[in-house]
Amino acid sequence: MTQAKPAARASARRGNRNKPAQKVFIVVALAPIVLYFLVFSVYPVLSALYISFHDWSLMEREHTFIGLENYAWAFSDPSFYTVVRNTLLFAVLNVLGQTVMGLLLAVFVGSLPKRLVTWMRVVLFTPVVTSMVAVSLMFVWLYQPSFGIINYLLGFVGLGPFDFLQSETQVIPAIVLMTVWKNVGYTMVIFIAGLTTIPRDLYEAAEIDGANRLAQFWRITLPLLKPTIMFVTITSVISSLQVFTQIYTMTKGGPGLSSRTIVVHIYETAFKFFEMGRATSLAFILFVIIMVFTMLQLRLMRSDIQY
Amino acid sequence: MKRLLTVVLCATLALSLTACGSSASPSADSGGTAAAADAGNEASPGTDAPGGDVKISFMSHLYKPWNDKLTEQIKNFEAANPGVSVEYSVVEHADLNTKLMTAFSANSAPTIMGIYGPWMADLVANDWLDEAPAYVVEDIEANTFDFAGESAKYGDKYYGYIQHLGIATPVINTDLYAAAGAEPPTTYEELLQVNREKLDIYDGDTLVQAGSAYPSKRDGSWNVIAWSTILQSYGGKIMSDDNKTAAFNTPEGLEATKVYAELTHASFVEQSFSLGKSAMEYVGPFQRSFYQENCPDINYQALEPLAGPADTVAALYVWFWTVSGGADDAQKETAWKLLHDISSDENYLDMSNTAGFISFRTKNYDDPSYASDEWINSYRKALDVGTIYYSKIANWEKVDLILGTELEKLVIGSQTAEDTLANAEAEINKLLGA
Repeated sequence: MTQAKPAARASARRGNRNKPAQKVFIVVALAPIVLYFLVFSVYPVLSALYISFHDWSLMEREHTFIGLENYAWAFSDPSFYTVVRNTLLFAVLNVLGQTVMGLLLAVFVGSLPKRLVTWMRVVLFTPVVTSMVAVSLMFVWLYQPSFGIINYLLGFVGLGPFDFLQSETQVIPAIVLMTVWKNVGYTMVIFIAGLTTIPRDLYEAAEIDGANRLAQFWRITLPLLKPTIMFVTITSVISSLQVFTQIYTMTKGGPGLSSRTIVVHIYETAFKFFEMGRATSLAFILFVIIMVFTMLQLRLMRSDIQY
Repeated sequence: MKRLLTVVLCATLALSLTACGSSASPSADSGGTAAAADAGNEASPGTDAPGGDVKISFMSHLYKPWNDKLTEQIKNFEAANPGVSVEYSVVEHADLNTKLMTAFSANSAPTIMGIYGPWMADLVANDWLDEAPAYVVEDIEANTFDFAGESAKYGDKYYGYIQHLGIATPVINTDLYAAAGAEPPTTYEELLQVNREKLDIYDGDTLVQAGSAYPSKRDGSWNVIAWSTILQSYGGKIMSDDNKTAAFNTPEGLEATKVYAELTHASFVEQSFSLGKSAMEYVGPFQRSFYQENCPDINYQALEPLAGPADTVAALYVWFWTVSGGADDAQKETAWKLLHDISSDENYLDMSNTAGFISFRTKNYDDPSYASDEWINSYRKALDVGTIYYSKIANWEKVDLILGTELEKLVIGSQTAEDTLANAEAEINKLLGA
């Protein structure tokens, strides 16, 4: 007992002596990532915010401070409301499509015999790992009104021909359809992971109580998948509001302005007209839109998230 | 031991820093630069290279046959000018404007760079481009097509050498014309008639062969260029003489816009000409190598520009080689000398034949091999009636976008020609503050 006390004191002293070294180690270990974050995230965001308050054209040497004028320009530009409407339409259709189709496919794949499950997962996940540009170019041909295979096949059931990408009303649904086809494998995998967390005994108990498959889906599967649904919808909303690649590849925002989205608008403002002040103000407006939607979703789905 | 280690570390650090310092750019060598600066930028091309080493950077965009030939010509220039070193770099075409503008903004623009014509108004206004020296101006005025020289002129000064001309002319599928028993048109009226009567073929309501497939999308401004060509042929113009208001919403403009709409088929298959589904397309001279590579079975012929009721016009765009206003005098002098060299009759003819460009130098058309080429000759006729389609104003790219967007709505049938002109006019005038 008398020997233990000095030993403990010595150990504590050693601990105290090591504390500064540990701190240095922690600082040194964290420094690269903190530095990386500061240089490549914080600094660009603050710079962009600074630029958004200036008349900042890459074609001009002087960049004067103009306060909120770039933001005022954005809201006074009629095409801004068109691109916001297009973006929201894309987001609503895309999130609905990906969530519903992803969930249905997950349930369907889960009901298949085990030997087919892996095969189906591979088939449905393959488009996810394919290049968006390649897929977009392929769909430009598939959607071709006169000679495209989709109109050709629809012709057998007496539908079409549709103008798809050449129509102001069909262009966004057509691009959404392609996007859902490409990305649904990802949401399906997330839902499959979510489904595996639901205890089997709940289904067994429901069966004993006489609940059919549909009732089990509505009463057990759907409520218990709420956290997964929230994750899928939030990530889909964010990616949908930032849609660019497929739009730019397939239509450049046309015909007219009918598929021009916020990011395409930002891109053209920045890299076609070189107006960085206006482009960064649009980027911050997009940031606010995404933040509002995300917070809204979190609030709507927060009530009974834990099971 | 610790001291020894510290001394060794400090010595290593000092050595490495010294090594870094010794690899500085030769262009920073003050002796040569200062000597060359005295020569000024009005030196004739025959002047020897500036004393000492001169290093310049040269940025171009990607097109392999062109890049290969430029690399060869630059090496020849370096060999003929000891002490000159050219750092040639290539960027994707889509990235070029971004890279250049950010480089300008950071005061690190390459010494020589390719510039799209509509950007020049802003760049000149901001003193970012160097004025061409007298011998270059003399060469441009004496040896190039008038519109080409004029296109490089802002105020009374020249700021660039022509890099290449973006010019288009109608090209027909001679087999489809022969099968239909049709003669190649010489006017827009003839073209409309032959399309209606013989070459637009429908299966029920579905178009299965188009008489013509004029550009219908604003990608690359081609729909605006095609429309502008017809507009001017019908006696219209895009902008007022003072470039302050839109001037196309006139009876002539309306007629031309209807003709343009009829010559496009937005819902028809893209690249329909190459697929043998369209009897005519409106393309540039470089398209020949595309045909040779991708559709060797198609027989084609480039036509001279079609005549309208008022005029025969070929609207075109120009790319320029320019020299950075931020370069030092020795670099500017060397850069212009290099541009003068690669733009010479001999070198540009070589380049034209290699890259499929159409030469901007009048003497090249005296060359028997060049003049006897039927394809080239059709484009030569287009150059005779060529005019740059854009106005030399700030904000042209926005004007272009407005026109391109409204024309897209027209060709898919979502608005009439009257509405197209009225909407575009209102937007452009609002943009320009008229």
